[in-house]
Amino acid sequence: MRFISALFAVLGIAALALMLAPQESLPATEWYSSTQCLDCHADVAAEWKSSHHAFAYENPEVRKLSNDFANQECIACHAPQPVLKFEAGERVLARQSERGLGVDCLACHAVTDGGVATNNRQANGDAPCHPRFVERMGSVQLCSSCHNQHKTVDQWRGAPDNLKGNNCLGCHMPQEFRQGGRSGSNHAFPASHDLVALQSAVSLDLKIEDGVVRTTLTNDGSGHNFPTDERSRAADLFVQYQVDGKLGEWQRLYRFRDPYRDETDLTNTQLPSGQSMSFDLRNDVQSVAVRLIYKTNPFMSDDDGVVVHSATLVIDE
Amino acid sequence: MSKYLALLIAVLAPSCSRQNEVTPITTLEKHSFDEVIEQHLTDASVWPEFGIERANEMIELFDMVELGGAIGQRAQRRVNRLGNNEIQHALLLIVETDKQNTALRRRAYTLLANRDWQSSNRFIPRLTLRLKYEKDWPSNIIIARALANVGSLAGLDAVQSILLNSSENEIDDLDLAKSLAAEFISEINSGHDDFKDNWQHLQLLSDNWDSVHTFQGVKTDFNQQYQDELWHLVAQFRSQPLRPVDDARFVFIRLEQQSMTVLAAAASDNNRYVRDHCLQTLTWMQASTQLAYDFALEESLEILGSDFYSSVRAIEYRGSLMAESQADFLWPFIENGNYEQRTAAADALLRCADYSVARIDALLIDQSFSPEAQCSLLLLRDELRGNEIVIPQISGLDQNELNRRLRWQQQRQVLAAD
Ligand code: HEC
Ligand code: HEC
Ligand code: HEC
Ligand code: HEC
Ligand code: HEC
Repeated sequence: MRFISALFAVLGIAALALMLAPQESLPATEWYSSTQCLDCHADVAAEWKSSHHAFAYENPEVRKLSNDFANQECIACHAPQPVLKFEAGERVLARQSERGLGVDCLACHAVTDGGVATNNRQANGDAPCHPRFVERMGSVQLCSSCHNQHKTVDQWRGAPDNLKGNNCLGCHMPQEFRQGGRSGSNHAFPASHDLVALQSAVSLDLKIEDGVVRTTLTNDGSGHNFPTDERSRAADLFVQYQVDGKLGEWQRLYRFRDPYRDETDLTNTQLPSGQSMSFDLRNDVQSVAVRLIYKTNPFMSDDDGVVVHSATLVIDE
Repeated sequence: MSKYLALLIAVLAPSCSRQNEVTPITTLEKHSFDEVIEQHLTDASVWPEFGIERANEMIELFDMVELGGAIGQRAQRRVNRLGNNEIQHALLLIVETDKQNTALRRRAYTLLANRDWQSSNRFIPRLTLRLKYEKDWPSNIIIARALANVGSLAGLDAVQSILLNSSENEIDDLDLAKSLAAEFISEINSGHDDFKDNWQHLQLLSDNWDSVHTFQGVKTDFNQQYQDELWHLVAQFRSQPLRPVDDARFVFIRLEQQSMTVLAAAASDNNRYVRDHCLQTLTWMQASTQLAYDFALEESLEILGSDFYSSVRAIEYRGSLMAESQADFLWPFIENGNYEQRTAAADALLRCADYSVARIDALLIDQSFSPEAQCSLLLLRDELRGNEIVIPQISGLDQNELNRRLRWQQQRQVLAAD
């Protein structure tokens, strides 16, 4: 360093002049912490902070199941290194620093040789963070590094075209308007913790046809199985009958769910994208009610679950 | 003249544009590693290739042997013609595939436990994995017994938790499991019949196994077939689906200590996932991996430390050795490493404790460390100064990360006090 400062003293003025002159290509900045991004991108940051990505390391549900991450197998996707450091389709590995930030800006945007990745070909490369076009940013390959262990991405590949959306982003990163009217992508990633998103996933139908009372659940809004998961989610369909003026108990008709790995005696009963499942119900009653309850884990009581849809049908004598 | 200028700009430009960021000096290369695993797998022996039908036939043969008489003798002669590998594979296939028939699985485990296998012990890893998936409690005790017969105490955890279980919930055959467990702990305590003594002996064995992975000097026979099996196991680290990876990690951390030499050797495989998971698994095993270090890892750690992908795990592994002697390796990373390396190295330093308060003070003044690294350095500095440990207040530090560091520090102090 001493040598350099001596040199600097000699060449000082000339060097400074040269350095201030615009250069052919800006040196790539090293981004090492997502906290560096939050101030300049306050709007994106606010959405991200409300997302389960930001919550991935602190989430008490995850804490409980991983025994406070004493089970270190769990850290990989909940506090990952930048995905773009891995080949497309390969799984991520855990990072060492700032794990509290969970799935952070760098996890999705950092490129190995400086700058940040975007799928916008017109991005302003002179912006302080040096955005540059990376094909994978707009593709399912970005999500699949973490979201395919339980086959969400494979399920999406098998979905009908009209439900594929704009990759995963069409449904999970809906368009948002940024300061100055520029369009952006919502970073809150609405899904199973968002009632509106849940309601858009499936429709529940209850009707009588040729004397048969039938309820049908259709996956017409989810680009993969319903309920999809990396953990084990469950969606339970219930029925309740009214006989002699009295309402009976809610009875479970069916459970839609991908079992845990070690529940080898159960099979996968998720509802694939675009498909329907129907159940014939009793018609010797005064009325029939059905409801669909979503549970973020399969042991949750019915009361703790979320009622996604319900319907009632009065049957004429 | 213009040449000097260009040089000057090349040197200064990045440091100016980065302002107060640290310039990484440690160069990270992408090394070309060897195909370590492939080389070992080329000639490695494999299990016989037959399916569950054949396995069921074999177990019927064992049933016939027990009938005695002429039928029994004939069956015995056929059993005698079977190789140990074939029998083991058949019994393992049964316990791996049959989920419904608990009695049959118990029978297969018992056959594994009762036979004298001499030195054919390649079934240890596959049987150890059953501890992860077998839900029948009595079976877990039989697994523990079968493993103990061949020099592995991996099943002791299950035995302990069954004996400690006083659950009100209906658990199938808990009483049977408890009596099998009581029998087993007497058996490994030279047949003593005082339950309290046997229980204490069990604790002792178990603590010893957890810390150094040996069993009263008895070692797993480290023969070629057993090693071949370990190479097949470590190859699972290459998998993209996580289940085979989780399974292999589960087994390795429960094996007798010589198995670590395979992890140590595979740590310089050309597959980055293999390197990562080998070092990670060794790290989880903590100080007991000193052996791996002494035998195989010391040299490759130098290269791993400068590898683009593996350096952080190599630094982390050094920390798990909890030895002051590791500090020389760590300092350059703390002072000049990138953000991730500095975190790993500061953490490792906390675990190894290097005695240089001044050097730490100097660091804390002008370097930008992650919250985790700051936490480690502050905890270490206070300890070295002989101050009371004050819980550092660092913004962005996750509570869980703070707790881990407090635990590491305590662990080392306990170790030093012993
Ligand atoms: C000093 C302020 C600043 C910092 C720090 C910063 N950015 Fe930017 N970023 C900008 C500006 C300005 C733009 C250009 C916005 C525009 O074109 O309207 C931009 C553009 C982007 C874009 C491209 C948007 C598009 O599609 O055109 C992405 C992606 C991005 N930033 C991500 C990040 C990430 C991730 C970080 C943290 C590593 C970060 N930025 C840090 C100011 C910043
Ligand atoms: C391969 C990457 C990966 C690994 C490894 C991983 N997870 Fe996850 N985890 C995810 C993804 C992706 C989600 C979000 C999708 C979902 O919620 O189902 C998730 C969600 C969860 C949730 C649900 C959170 C909620 O709010 O309901 C829990 C709990 C969880 N993980 C626990 C764990 C535990 C415990 C481990 C270790 C045994 C683990 N995870 C390992 C990727 C991973
Ligand atoms: C680096 C790993 C990683 C990547 C890449 C990633 N995710 Fe996630 N994602 C997770 C984890 C972990 C969770 C679960 C966090 C939790 O609930 O604790 C999650 C949760 C989610 C959720 C559930 C949110 C909720 O409310 O439960 C959605 C939806 C989601 N991710 C969509 C995506 C999409 C779309 C992409 C691609 C643009 C993507 N993710 C990329 C790791 C990742
Ligand atoms: C057509 C719209 C649509 C598309 C396309 C889509 N999703 Fe979803 N996704 C949903 C809806 C609705 C839900 C909530 C109900 C459910 O689980 O299906 C959801 C839920 C999720 C969850 C939450 C699971 C949990 O356990 O919390 C994850 C993770 C997820 N999607 C990831 C993806 C990924 C990755 C892709 C791309 C491969 C994708 N989604 C494509 C609509 C979509
Ligand atoms: C789970 C992955 C993921 C995470 C986490 C994430 N992003 Fe993004 N981001 C994307 C994807 C995908 C896009 C859309 C494709 C594109 O424009 O490149 C995007 C777009 C953007 C854009 C341009 C569009 C817009 O809405 O303005 C900016 C800026 C941006 N991200 C900044 C950030 C910042 C800052 C963070 C952290 C607070 C962050 N991102 C976290 C995946 C992610």
